[in-house]
Amino acid sequence: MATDGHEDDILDDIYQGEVNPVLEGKKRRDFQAWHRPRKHFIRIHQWCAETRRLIKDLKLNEKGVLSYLGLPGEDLLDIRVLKGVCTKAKVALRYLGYDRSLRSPVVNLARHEINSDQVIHAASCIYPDDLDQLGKRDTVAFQNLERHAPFDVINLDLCGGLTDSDEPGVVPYLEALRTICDLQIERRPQPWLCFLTTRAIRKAADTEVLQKLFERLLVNIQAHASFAQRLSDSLGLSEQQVRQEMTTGRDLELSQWVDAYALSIAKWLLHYMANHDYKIAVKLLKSYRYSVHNGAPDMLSLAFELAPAGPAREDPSGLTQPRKVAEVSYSESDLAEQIVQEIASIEDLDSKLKGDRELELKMFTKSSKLLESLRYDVVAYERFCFPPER
Amino acid sequence: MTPSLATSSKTDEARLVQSITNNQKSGKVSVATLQTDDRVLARITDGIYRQPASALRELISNAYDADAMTVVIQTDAPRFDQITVRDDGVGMDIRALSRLIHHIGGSSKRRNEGAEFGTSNKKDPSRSPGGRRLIGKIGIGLFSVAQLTRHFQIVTKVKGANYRLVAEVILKTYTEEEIAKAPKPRGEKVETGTVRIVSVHADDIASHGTDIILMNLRPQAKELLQSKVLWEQLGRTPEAGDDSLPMLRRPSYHIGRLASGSKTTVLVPPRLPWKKSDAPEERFRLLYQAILDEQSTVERNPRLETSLDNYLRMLWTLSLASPVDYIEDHPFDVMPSDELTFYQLSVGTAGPATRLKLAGKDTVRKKLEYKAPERGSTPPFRVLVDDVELRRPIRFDDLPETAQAIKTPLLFVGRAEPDLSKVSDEERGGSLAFEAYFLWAPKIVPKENNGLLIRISDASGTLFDDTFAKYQVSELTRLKQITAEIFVLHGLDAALNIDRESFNTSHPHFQYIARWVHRALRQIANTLKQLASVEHEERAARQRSSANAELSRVVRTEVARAGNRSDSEPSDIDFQDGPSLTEKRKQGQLALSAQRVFAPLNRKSKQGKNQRGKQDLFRKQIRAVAQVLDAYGLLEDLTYEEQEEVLRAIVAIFAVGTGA
Repeated sequence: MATDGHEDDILDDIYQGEVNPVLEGKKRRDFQAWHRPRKHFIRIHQWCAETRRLIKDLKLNEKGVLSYLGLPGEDLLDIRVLKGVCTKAKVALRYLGYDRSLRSPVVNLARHEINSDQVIHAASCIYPDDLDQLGKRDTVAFQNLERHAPFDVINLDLCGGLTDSDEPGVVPYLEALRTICDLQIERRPQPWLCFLTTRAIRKAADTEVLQKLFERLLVNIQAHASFAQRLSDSLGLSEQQVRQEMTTGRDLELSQWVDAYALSIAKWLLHYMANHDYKIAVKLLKSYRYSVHNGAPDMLSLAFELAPAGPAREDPSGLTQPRKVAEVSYSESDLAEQIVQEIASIEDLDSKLKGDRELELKMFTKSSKLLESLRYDVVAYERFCFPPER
Repeated sequence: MTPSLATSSKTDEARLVQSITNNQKSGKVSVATLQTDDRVLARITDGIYRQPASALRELISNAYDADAMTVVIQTDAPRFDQITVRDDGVGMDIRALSRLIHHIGGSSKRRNEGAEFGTSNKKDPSRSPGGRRLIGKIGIGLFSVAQLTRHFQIVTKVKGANYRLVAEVILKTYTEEEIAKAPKPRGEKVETGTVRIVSVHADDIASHGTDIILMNLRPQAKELLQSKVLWEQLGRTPEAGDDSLPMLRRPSYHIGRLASGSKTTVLVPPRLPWKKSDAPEERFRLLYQAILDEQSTVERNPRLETSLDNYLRMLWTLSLASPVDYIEDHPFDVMPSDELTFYQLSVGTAGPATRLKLAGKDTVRKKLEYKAPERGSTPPFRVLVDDVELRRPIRFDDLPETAQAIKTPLLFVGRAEPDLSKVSDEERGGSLAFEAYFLWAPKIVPKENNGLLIRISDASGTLFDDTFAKYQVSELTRLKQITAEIFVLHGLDAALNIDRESFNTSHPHFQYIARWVHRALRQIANTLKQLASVEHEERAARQRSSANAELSRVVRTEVARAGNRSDSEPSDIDFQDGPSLTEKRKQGQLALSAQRVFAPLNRKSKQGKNQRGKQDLFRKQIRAVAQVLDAYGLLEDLTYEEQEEVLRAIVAIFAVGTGA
């Protein structure tokens, strides 16, 4: 019997559609850039080390909870390593993750492995959203962020660039970072950490966005001679070079451009944090650069400590106790100069590991062990890390 | 099941166990076919439940039976694409999982073999390994998820194992046509889906628990959870003359609404009764309080149906169904207070219930040795849904007051363990024991908390039955003021229908409970009538005593005014009959015939205390009239008979409409 008219939409509302099995039994060989030993170095020596220090500084005791925001990917590698830090420190880990990849048995298994541990807080959750959704207040992603904020540690481990843009002048990831910062400013009275991994590719960045970022450098150079001096001494960058780069888009050496890009991001963060009534000091911690495709460095792993610097916010009703915020003398230009100093000491991780065979093998072994526990083929992994032609 | 099929099933099961074990090293997938022994069970795996909450309720019950301490449910609201139910129970090993797959509807729970599979207690198969009374028994609970999706994963691990199992299940939609066409001999198993299982190495030997991940939910399940129909109707503008739209209002509390066709954009932000800073264990209390508060802001008799969206109602339903704690104390652990009066029911006797006097830190449990809920020695059971800890939404103190005669709630408790030894084994249906409470309160908020809820193993799928097992007596007002729960300690299980959402009402255990409840209700009604009558009389007496005092004051004032002297005393007028009348008159007192003066009054053969009290006041009022008339000298020149006539006329006038 035929149906009169088109009623496919009725069927769409009823049937779930084709369901295909996703469970695979093969050993995993889909290695990605974030499986390389150098990334494990970042996990251990940057994320874990700084988090361990923060737990100590915040004096989180056995009843304490470390609140973490990350982009964990299907293996939840960041959460796995931080779980170890929290276990040792005897604090619970409450994580909020965003991972837009389709749900898979891999991520479900990974979540079971992680969540089976008592150290994981019951409210920990991963939502299937992309980071760019956080910049918009009318999204499910933002609602969930707001429900979980504030955080002790924020880890935006991007594959692309922070300033990537599909639309001229629109920078969704930067918008997301700003939203997160707004919630932190509003709710977080203690210091917190922000790890930021971003590609640094001159051609990929939006010109208009780059102009605005570098503009901040120029403003600083013009306003503070000491900043200009520090820039020149530490990074070999002059006002003229920055100006030229802004005009031509190709004046700086590649490594200088990566430094200038890192500095401009740090400066943006500092300037944003300095221009609120409630000031937050931004400090660049030990950071790294490396190359995704064996060429010039094009990836930055930046680490920031953000410490509220007062003035302490008052409760106009006087109902609550005054909040204790370390009242420190706050100077945006001083902080900017310190950032320049830290940018100068950003280490090239590829060179570091190449120059220290022992360290490289150590990182490979640790990473290999972790991946083996995640059902990866370790023989193939060795070939991935050390191709025969090497 | 025929012996040959049992053998076949056992062989399949053993083969699957072998396959998973063999593949542990290589990590290969083992594949099995989900089969049921007959069409009835095939139908069950296709979904027999009515609401999305049913599926989650069954998974919570499974976790409870697995001795979990905490169940964490994450629904991805308001998107509801994927729901994860995580528990820290005993988990499943290779054999237990294979058993589950090959014996849908043939659970090892409550059987001696349950101990072997880690599903039952070694000493008592009706209990969990940790000693809880088992909720499940048939082994279809997991397949209740068919209500929500036909694609789900199970990740599970047992303590001591060096592996985890990941199973991916894809259910097949049941079709009579296909079964009829299949060239299979009668009695052959019916294929209901496929399962792919992988065993993966685990270093965390001590970990245990199970995750059920419901993937890519059915469109209609999502729409229900999203309250899609309600929001759509709220968004429609009725055209002139269109009366097809029911009267709808936006729920007071809801999870919000997504923009049409979007999975990321929120059109209506959520409105929840708790703040972000409120702890999970506080949130349900706040939800309950918000519903109570609706009484002063939204409607006289708040209803969940209009106050909450489908999602929050699901939370409420789950909290009632699950073996979790109350938002405050269990009714048997409530301490005595001025706000609650305790009564003990004894349905074998007529008349009212007995007042139960609890002093100090006494509770029903301590004083009467009540046992419910019997959860063994395992730690408390917690269920968290999207960071809200479920608590049973019934409170026994601080309840709304009304202007009714009995203002504070009454808690009736009772229990029964009928001696069924006289009934033959064939008919008895096993032993039966239960404990119960009936909370009477001037108003039950929300309306959906009114009725009778029967718990077996401290869980329930039936919600409140506001007919109280079809109580036929016309006690509508009183029944609307009762919340009752029966905690079954033994028996009744067999009367629970397969979906656990209704009872086989002809089962002798259900029949017994129904009749016991009806008797209890009669006893409660008697108690309430008695209390109301006492309260009524006491109030009338209080009022009369105050009326008498006022009457004396008025008479004194009026007599003083008549005599123009503040010390003028009202004359001593009396209404008498017989010899005492003459005697009083001899003594110079103004005595009149009571019979004559009060002749217009109706004389009922039987008068209540209250009626007598009213007449007494009326006589005093007539006496006051006589005293005032006398003070003005108006009675002075009249004969006794004329005086009696004047007063009789006054009585006749004021008797109209007073019922005196």
